[in-house]
Amino acid sequence: MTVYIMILAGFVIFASAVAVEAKKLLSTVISLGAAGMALSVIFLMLGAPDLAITQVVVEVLCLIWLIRATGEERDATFETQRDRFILAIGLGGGGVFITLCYFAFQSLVGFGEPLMNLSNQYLQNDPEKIGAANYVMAVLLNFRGYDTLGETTVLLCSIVGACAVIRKIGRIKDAGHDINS
Amino acid sequence: MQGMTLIVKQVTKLVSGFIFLFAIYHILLGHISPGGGFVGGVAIGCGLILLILSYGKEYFNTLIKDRTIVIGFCLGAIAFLLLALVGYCGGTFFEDIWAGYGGKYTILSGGTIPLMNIAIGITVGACLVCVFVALIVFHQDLKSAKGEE
Amino acid sequence: MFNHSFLPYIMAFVIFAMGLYTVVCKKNIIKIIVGLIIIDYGVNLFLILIGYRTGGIAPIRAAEMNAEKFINSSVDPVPQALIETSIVIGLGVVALTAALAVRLHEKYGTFDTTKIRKLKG
Repeated sequence: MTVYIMILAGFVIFASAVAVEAKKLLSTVISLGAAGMALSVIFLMLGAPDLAITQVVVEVLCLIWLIRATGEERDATFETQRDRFILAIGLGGGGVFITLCYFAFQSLVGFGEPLMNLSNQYLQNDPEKIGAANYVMAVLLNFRGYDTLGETTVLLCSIVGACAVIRKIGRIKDAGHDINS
Repeated sequence: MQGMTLIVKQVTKLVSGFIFLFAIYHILLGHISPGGGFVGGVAIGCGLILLILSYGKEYFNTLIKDRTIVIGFCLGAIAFLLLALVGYCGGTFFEDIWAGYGGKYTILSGGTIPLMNIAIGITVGACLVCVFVALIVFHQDLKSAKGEE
Repeated sequence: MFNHSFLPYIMAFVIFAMGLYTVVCKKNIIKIIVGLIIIDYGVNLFLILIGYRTGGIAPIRAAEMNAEKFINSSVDPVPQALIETSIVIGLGVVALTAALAVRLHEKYGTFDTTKIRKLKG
């Protein structure tokens, strides 16, 4: 199973590389969608079916918004000499980052043996007492309810901000029409 | 904003019922099988966006007005907070006081958890429809208003 | 003494580093938004990999399981709950930044950040 997870993670890396370097913006968005689908299959293999469904549905919606934002554009920026220099520094910095990560991971637990200090207390409860047989839902809404409340607040703020950036009233007056809305 | 051709409308008639059924199943039975409020909410948003795209905004406004959607997501957020405060009757914030009502693995055995899932689902779905209307429908109205000049 | 059992963690951080490079070094606004999404993917994957148990089952308790067997064989439910909220917050981030990008394009006519800065005078 670990081999399959690593093969799919390699596919996510490849699709992200295509998304970053493509010239047409539509190809960028579509390869990002492919990376999200592979990530959803990885979540299913890691024993998280809730996350697999959530990732697929959210990523399809991101595709719709980004395709609306880009349309038929091309990436019209061109590289100068300074950009190649910055690219070389960026790749070198990335290599140093991965090497330092390798040494930092020596102190983590190995892959496949979770610590579960907190989850042992949560998993010992009976489903009748906490009201849910799906322990992920029980953790989200019963044991860690504050985090869900904070998440709803953050989502509301970002959606209100997005709607406020695209206003209807001021812009139609800007275009020279008088409209009652 | 105008709708699409006849083929798209016919296919939408066949498919949109199943999309809403999927969303409602995951919201109501989120505490027994995988899913939950967030999945159902995003799926409701997607179903409503499909209706707006294929039938046009004017027809959609005869079914659900804009004001209803905005009131919907405000009430969903307030309902979630009130359900959290109900737990004070039992002991702490967010305590599940009605758990285990109908035996194991039924809808009613969740207590406040299915009700919270419904509140989250309505909130998230209405949020996504609002952003879609702002991003896409307003831009097309603005472009057609400029184009007529 | 090199331990090879954390190769999946390194791959999750390669995804994160690729997204970070895109945010810092690219000049097109849509590419910067794509970089933010890739950072999200990398971080979510890393946190789910921490909670994985080899040969484990999903944390949903079936009717015929007893408590001891379930605790010893299920994966960790706490990271999964927190990453589920994180995925939906990523959706909110994309909504806000895509709205900003659309507005910038309508006002300046381009997605190129160097030209937008020059237009400010």
